[in-house]
Amino acid sequence: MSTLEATDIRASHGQLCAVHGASLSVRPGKMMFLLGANGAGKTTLLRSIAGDHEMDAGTVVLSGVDVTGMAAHHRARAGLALVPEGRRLFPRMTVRENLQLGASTSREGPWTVEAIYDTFPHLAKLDKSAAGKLSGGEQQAVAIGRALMGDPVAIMLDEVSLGLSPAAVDSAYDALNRLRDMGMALLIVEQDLNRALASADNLLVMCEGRITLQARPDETSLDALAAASFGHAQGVQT
Amino acid sequence: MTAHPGLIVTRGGRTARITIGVIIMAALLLAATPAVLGIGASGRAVALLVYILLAVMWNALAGFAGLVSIGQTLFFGMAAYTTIRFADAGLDPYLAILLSIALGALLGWIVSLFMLSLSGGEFAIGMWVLSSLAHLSVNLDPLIKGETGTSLISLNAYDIATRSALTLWLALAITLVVFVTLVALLRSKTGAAITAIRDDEIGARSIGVDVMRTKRVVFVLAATGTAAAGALWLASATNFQPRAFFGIQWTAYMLFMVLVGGLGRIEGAIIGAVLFFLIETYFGAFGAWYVIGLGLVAVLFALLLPKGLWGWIGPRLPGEAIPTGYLVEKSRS
Amino acid sequence: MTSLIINAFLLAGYYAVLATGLAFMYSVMNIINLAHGALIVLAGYGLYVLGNDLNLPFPVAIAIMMAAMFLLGVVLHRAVLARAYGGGELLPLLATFGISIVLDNLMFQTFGADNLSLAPLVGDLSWASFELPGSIFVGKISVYILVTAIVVIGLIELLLRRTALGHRIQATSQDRATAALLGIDTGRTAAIATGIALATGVVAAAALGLRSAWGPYGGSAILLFAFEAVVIGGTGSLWRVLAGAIVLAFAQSLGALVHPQGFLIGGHLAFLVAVFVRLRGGRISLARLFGKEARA
Repeated sequence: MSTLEATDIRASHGQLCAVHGASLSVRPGKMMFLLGANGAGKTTLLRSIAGDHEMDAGTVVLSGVDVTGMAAHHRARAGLALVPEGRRLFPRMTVRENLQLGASTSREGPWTVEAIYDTFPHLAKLDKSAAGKLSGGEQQAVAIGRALMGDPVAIMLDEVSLGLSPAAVDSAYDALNRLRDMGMALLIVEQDLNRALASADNLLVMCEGRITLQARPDETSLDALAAASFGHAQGVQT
Repeated sequence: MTAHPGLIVTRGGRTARITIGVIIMAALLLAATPAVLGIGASGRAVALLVYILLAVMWNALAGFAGLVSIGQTLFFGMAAYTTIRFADAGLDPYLAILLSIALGALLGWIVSLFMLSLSGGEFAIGMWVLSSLAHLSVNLDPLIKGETGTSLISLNAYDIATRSALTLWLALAITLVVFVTLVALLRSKTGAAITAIRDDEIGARSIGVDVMRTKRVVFVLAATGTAAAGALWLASATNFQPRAFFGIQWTAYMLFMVLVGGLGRIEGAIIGAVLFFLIETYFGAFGAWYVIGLGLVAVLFALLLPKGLWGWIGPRLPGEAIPTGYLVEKSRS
Repeated sequence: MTSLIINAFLLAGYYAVLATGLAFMYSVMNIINLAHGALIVLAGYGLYVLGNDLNLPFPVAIAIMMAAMFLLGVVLHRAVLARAYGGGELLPLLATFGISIVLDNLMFQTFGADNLSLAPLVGDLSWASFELPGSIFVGKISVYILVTAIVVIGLIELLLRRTALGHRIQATSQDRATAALLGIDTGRTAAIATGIALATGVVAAAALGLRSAWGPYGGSAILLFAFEAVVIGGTGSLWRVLAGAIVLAFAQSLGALVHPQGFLIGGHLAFLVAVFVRLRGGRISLARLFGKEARA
């Protein structure tokens, strides 16, 4: 059974339709990548699934429970986490305080602040630092750690490597791979197609609010992904 | 307006023509009040016009520029005070009123230079602080003698029938001028900017609307109209007691008229003013209970029917009553 | 001169107590509650009824009123303020102003125009005073009010910075959407914060009633003083309210020295100067303006 199953999601910004009926399903211990150009509707889709954006139609099922009618904080308490684009930490609070806020879901699970510091060792020494003063990579680690503190079963990450150094991206993906091995379902929005091809269990490409390609990494290629991002059915050499 | 094939762009229409007819009829009726109904009725007619001025101006400020002020009594009270001062210096009382209105516009422009940088609640109470400061300063004037106040004695130069008719006609003329100015403003390029700010301030800024300039235009107009209302109220009441002009009850009345009539629509403000006039005529004697009722109704409208009565009536009419936008229709040809 | 300075500090303590609830709602939740003054006066009448008519000990009356005002705050948030997020920024301003008008006149109808005082409830304390070197006498009540102001602000700062609830309140006010994504019930958190703000109003009401007498329409003056202290002090920390209150009290005292009726004018001028200074500095208020927009 899928951990996260979204069916026929439709969402809009005012009169502008951003997502036209997208469906996806992520199984436990799998890492699914969501790719596509800017404005394709990826962020809106993720926010709709998390309940942060009111969707027009569609259903979201988490571990067999229909959470469609629930407010965002109830979805979080049901085990669905979203690490938003730009990380959205609370800049004036310390790293520890940011992490502790993640425990607001009151769910049972293995994650504690110390467990997060085991996963991201470089955070331990920043314990009392204000989150706003951290580097991009450190902030991303705190944002992922904060989501983990809620002991989610599925975690969605928007633009996970945006603005990070290559080393910071590597370290973030090390941690994400460990989460996959722990049986978590991951849905990741990523701009780096090579990274996606190398790490993914499944790939989705969105273009103009629709899912234009769905494949396993061994079934597709960089060209096909790029082509699907711009709405072409076949790969076009560039 | 360049023609677009297949589309007819119009403003106005049958509803608007009816509105113009109603306004002309109402103006003629009001103008005839002194002759037909006598002195007492013309005093009430001035009150109605003052309420309309206050409501339309406060609505322009809150509904169009997004500025809630609980200190518009600054302009209302100061205009009354300067009228007293000019008249005391020997000016004809009606000239004193006109000069005070001009001074109100100047005061509005000066205040706009620094107050418009405040937002939301800071602006709201900041205006109140200014009004309170003006009230306290006026009380220091030996001519006013604190809260004892004084009268616009020079009005006695006119006999009572003449002055009540003159005051009413002046009030009518000023209200019409302010009204036409506002409608013209809303139909101009600035009007498009005002509508954009009303609907979405951040969005308006992002498409290059000069939000500050636009707000300043509305603010100065509102200051002028409110000053006119204050000077006219003095001409009608003749007594000037600072508390009766700077008091917060005026803000409560403006809030009631605009919220009940419909925030952001001129038609709503007028309906709210007329409604308030009627309620005051029949229930004003109930004192505090009357004010409690006004406050409760205003709060309930804010929470349950934020677009007011006109928000309910307006969409049921064919076209706009006071057209400030454009109607786009597919041509039937 | 010494006694003037001491009295200005004591007055500042009083203004700080009046302003704390307003500042808490403003800096933490970005809401200016125009009914703040009327609600303090309401709490004052509540204390009077409990202490004078029902003969309850003063601390018990305060405890009961704090619980009652906390509940009223939760209701106020649920019924009025929470709707602001659907109806735009103007709505809470308009609605709380309307509520203040209703409360003022309801209290006039219920309790009449007479000025009431809570002083009889504390017996001798109301006129007892400390003697300082140089034969300067300061009222004990005023000193206790200043101490209470410091304690109340300290407790709220502690709540905000050190407790899980405080962190949830901060998260809700800074970024409501992200707070919800973390599983925080933002509506409930904001309602609790409003309740806390109104509960501190009971302390303000006690200070009001012990220091002087008040009438049904006293709320607007309280709102004005509280707001001036908040704007002069600036936002960021509630300690700045105390600083703002000190400036306000000194400006008023100076005004009273210059002219018998200059007390209020001095305070208003200090407020205007504070607004001017912030405009000239520009950055503070602009940064906050843009910060608000970025979140919107």
